[in-house]
Amino acid sequence: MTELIVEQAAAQMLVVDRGRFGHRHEGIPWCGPADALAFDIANVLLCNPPDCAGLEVMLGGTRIRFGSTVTFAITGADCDAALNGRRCANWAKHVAPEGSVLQLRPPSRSVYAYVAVSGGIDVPLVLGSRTTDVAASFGGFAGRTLREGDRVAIGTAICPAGASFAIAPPQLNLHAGAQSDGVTVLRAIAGGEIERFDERSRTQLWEERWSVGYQSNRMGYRLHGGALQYVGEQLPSHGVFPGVIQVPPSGEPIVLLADAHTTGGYPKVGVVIENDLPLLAQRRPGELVRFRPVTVDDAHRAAEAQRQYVQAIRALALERSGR
Amino acid sequence: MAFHMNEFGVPKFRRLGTNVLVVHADGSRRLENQERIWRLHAAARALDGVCESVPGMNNLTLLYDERIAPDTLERRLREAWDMAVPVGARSRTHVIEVRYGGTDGPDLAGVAAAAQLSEREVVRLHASTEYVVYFLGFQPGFAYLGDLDRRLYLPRRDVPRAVVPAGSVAVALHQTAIYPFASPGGWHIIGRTDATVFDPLRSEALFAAGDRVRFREHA
Repeated sequence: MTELIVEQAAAQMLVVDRGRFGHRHEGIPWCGPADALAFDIANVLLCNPPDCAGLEVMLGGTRIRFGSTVTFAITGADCDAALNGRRCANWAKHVAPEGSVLQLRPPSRSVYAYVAVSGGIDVPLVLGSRTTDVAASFGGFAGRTLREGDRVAIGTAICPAGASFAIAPPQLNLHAGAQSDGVTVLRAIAGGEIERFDERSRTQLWEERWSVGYQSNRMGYRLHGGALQYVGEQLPSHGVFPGVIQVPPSGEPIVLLADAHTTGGYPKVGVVIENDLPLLAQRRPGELVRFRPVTVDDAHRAAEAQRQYVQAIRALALERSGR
Repeated sequence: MAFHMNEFGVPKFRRLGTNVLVVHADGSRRLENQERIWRLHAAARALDGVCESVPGMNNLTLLYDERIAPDTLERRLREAWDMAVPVGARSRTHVIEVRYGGTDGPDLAGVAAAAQLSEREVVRLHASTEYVVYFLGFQPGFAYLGDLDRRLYLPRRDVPRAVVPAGSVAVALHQTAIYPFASPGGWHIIGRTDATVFDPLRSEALFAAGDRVRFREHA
């Protein structure tokens, strides 16, 4: 059996796939990758089907040994990866001979790195998905973060290994305009209860440079910068989902991410567009973000641009796989 | 008759984000409105292009994709809203055994004191009501059950517990619930059950919106 062995565990290292969809009415969150673009590209580089599971490594600091020859891809936070002691490029596909050791160091910036393997991580499907629900302890590898000594099965490779190759990171093209003066710009659609915030708050939402708080995780990122003043009444519980910007009584917004609960009660001021959630997820506590208002049409255009971007990588990956 | 036009008021439809439609039921008739929400939920789940349909309290949040236009979705839901469908035809009734008080229900004494009732009386009131599953949320399989006997209404605890054990039966405001998983929680724990309300390896959640739930004191 093809497998990988965890020789050194990161602070959090999860088996993830695109998410556990269609069960939010049962209280079951998606629990997909924090950076869905980096995760998707890792699978695309290997010509894996998009539903293949991979590893999400938080803040590096891990060592993985491959039990047999495995083609893998690394994307996301640059962890100065080394294969058998030799540096190997990020946003790239590589071939690891049997017994190889892949090391990911703590990245100097960003948070989440992805390791995909040809054929995907082979853990049982739970309610249609292989992703890990850490809060409820199911799915993924025994419902938990990987630990030293864990042996994780790898599925059967579908595509030929082909040659190693790397792409330019999305920061250089797709996301080139996302940073301005060290502030990450997140496109958001105003909505929810925004009309029931006072006028000053409705301006402040878009003008403030929000700082990512330390109490941020895969459920949501807390932002600091000022208090938005809600003047409406308490809301009955309602559905929420990744991207929703909710405002608890403190007035400081929380942007919900991959592990977001299915229902909530806080007023909402809008929704960060899906394509920009990876930009937020990769920010660290203390880093600055700003919201930029966009329309639904803008969001559809952004989604289309990303589809084309990923499609171009897919075409390249197929070509390089020798098909 | 098949139609009861606008008997419960006109629902409000609002877009949220890129691909989300939120339906709000109007008015104060919470359970009757909620029954309409469940019907909308059932109708929505049957539509191609609806990826998630999440009932809340008198509202429904729908996530859809490019297979359905938002205007079409809204029209189909308006039709479903106006259509009278037998209520509760598909709902089930569950009986849950509970060990009340003691280490299983550390807040039973506090609830009794706040309600100026004996612990026995609190147990009797909690176990003699048939509850409705309004919706699920917070945790996989966590069902919001209502309505508690008015005498048991209490605000949430001032300081949430760091860990509420799995299986805890708790009350807060007009609601009661069973915690499927150990987690932090701010409700008052009055008992505990061995019933499995969510086992992801076996099947879906035990409770579905619209189901009825009764509690029975463990003999």
